[in-house]
Amino acid sequence: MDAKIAVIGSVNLDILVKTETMPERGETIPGDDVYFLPGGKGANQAVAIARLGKKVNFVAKTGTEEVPGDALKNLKHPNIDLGFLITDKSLKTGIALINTTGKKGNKVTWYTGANKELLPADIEKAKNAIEDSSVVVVCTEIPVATAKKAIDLAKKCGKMIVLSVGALTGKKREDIMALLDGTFVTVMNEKEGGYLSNRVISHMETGNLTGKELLARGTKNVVITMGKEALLVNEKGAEVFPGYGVKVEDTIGGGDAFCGALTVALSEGKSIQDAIEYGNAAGAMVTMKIGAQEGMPDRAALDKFFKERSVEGGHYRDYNDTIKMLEKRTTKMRVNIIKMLGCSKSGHPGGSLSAIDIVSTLYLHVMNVDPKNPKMENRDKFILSKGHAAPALYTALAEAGFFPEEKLWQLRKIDGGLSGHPDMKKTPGVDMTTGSLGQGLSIANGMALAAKLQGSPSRIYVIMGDGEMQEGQIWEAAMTSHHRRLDNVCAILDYNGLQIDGSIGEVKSGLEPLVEKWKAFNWNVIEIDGHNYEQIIEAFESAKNTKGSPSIIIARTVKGKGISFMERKVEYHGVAPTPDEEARALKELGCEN
Amino acid sequence: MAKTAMRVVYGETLVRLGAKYKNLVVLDADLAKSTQTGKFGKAYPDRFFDMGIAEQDMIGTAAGLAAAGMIPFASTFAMFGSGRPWEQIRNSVAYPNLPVKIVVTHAGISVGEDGPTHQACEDMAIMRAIPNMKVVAPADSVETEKLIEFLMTYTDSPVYVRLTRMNTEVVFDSSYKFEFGKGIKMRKGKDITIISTGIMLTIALSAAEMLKEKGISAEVIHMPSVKPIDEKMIVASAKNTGKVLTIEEHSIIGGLGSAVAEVLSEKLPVKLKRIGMNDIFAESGTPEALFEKYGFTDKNILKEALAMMKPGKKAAKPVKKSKKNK
Repeated sequence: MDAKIAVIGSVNLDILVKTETMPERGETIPGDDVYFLPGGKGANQAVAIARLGKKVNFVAKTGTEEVPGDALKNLKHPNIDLGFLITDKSLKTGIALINTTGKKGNKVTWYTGANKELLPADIEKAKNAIEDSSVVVVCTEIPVATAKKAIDLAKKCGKMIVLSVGALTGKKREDIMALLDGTFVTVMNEKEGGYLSNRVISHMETGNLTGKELLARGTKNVVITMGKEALLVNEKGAEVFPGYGVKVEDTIGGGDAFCGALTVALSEGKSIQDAIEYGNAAGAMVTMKIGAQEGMPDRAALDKFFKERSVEGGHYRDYNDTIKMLEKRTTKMRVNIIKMLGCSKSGHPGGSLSAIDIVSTLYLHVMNVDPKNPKMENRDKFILSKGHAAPALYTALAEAGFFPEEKLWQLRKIDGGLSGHPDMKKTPGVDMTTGSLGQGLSIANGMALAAKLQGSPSRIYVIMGDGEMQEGQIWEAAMTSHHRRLDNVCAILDYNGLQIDGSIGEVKSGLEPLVEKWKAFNWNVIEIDGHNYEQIIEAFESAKNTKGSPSIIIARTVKGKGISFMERKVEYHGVAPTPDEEARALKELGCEN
Repeated sequence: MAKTAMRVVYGETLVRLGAKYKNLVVLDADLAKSTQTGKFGKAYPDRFFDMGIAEQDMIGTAAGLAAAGMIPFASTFAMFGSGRPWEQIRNSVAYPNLPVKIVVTHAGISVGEDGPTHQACEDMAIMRAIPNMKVVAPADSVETEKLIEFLMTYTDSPVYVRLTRMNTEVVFDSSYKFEFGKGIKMRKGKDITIISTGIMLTIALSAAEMLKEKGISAEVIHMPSVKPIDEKMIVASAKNTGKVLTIEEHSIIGGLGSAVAEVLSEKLPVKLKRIGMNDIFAESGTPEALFEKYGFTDKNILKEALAMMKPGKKAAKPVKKSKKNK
């Protein structure tokens, strides 16, 4: 196809210094190297598109450059028509001062320069660039009125419009929202989405809420990138595209490569879903090289990467269906639990597998947490009172994005950051150190009391084991929760019926009648099947809506759930699978290695 | 000297600071009248939690409060604030290094008539053994007040503060400033070093007076911070006097005497005598009678100090007449 793509946006020179950590206020951190590299959202996307074989009409404004480097270096590409690029020698080209720590992210200070002077009148003059193209990409790193002008023109000509949201600080939320109407797709990262919808986008659920709000403003598709993942929200619902795990050099330009490749795919008549998968692949490739444009792949390289790794990057269809999402992602967590324990050669599979559906639902659907900001104020908190199920917690934290999946293989290893039982000082996302049974509920009460005093909406979730009910402190705490009317405490009892020395009844009869016991302690008791997501979700809803008393969800579970030969077996309480068992277990879970 | 109860001052200080520190919360386990935290409860009912007779739950709840950014003080008798919830303190407070302040009262045998079930003489030992935990035993109500004030903004670690039931003489004035790991030289001397902690300070000072009459110059060090302990001061003083005597209202196993012995045996072995509960349980009785019977008196310090002067070690240069007073 030779239809052109118009890109209206910014040009910058990126001055990039790579450091180990981000400097705090007043702190000076030495960097190893400095780079002067071409950048700017508009230019990045133009380069991405051109390298993927599409003709680009590039509309932007530059000035003079008094630093080494050439902002236009990569724009001088046979596929890019620079006839619409305005150079005003009285202005300076935009400069982005980037402090990057590689994987851990960037901090950018931006001198807008000539970008700020790209005016609606310039767009009027560059009308042909739009009329001549099949798809129009508008970036918001230029004045909002200019972006509006470009979109209006594109709409008038009936073009497909891709709105690439970025650099929102200082812009009015409403002005940006007004750009959405009539666009085919609006692309942003989770920070920008959060800015537009005034909420922290911490997982797919919150992303979905933001997506719905933006849809209401007249865009057909909302795409929110969250690290390597992307979330699509449109009238059909929401879908998640997990992306590709690669060795990240820096994340600069990842979003632009994503948007560029997505646009190319769309211009070729691909579905939005296919376009996002393609975008994810391009985004991953760019992060493997330093700078925004240096790693932008050409068509052959991207197609090769995409083909080789498309299974891994494939999206989960029907993501709006929370149940299916949970099923899919929890199966992955079960796989990870088995793999982790295989690596560590010790640990507790039985109780991790019995609790995982509940832990997964909490982190992927229920709790208000921010993986990028694990200590977020007013977050919901989670205490794994049965701390030996740590693998369940760790794999949920990884899946939710608190740390990379690779870290899971460090379970129980020295200096690995994943202690045999949860350690809040070592692992991001762990709200409380646990391991010695019987203590979690008291701690939950303390956190809940603090939340009440602080006027915080924070809810405290605590999972206890059934054997743990034999600890006296549980019942001390049960009285406290009721006495203080801690309706922000939600306890979950993982009732799998087994403990180390045998079945609960054999070791010490007297646990039953359990429901009546908790009722007698004045708790709101909810009984569910702990592996049924519908029931789990409903129970959390019902607990949240119960005012004036704490709630306990008594979840009937199966120890070792999901692995046939581990189910209901006392032996798998605290024994890791052998290599042979690991292989069999993974096969059962549909994972061959 | 005026006598005041440090626990009364503890309660009053909490009330006073409650106005300034809005995050200050106080927990008790059904002993709020005795520990005096009830005063805080009256002043700030929404920030006071009587947990009932459930010390393990109290410590866990305090840990949760600290993890959520509050400043929790948890109080009960020393016996029930250290022994009963030891494992909760170890695993839910000290291991995650949460800044919970465990302020116990009624430590030692001076609880008196309640008898050995209530006489905590092992608490410093078991608290001292926990990593991250700090252990402090103030001597009077002024030191208690300054310590509590200091702890309001201290968040580096959990702290165990040991108060007693009985009224004690006021030794310090308002210029007192608390610091972890710092001993306080109360009196300079060259023949023997007496190191005390908690309310034993007044007895140590009185013994030093008696020793002076015998021509023996005793250096008296008050060691409120039993952990971390002031190694430098101990070693410097021992170098000077060549003899060290410790006194604590606690077992000689694991408390101040042990801590001093640990320092000296590694850094500067000198003659050492530990006065304390000698691996036995005490009994019911008035505090005075118990102190008399178990050796927590100036007379007993005098006796032990004189005994230390006796053998023909090179040690003290002057007065030999001390030998006479056996």
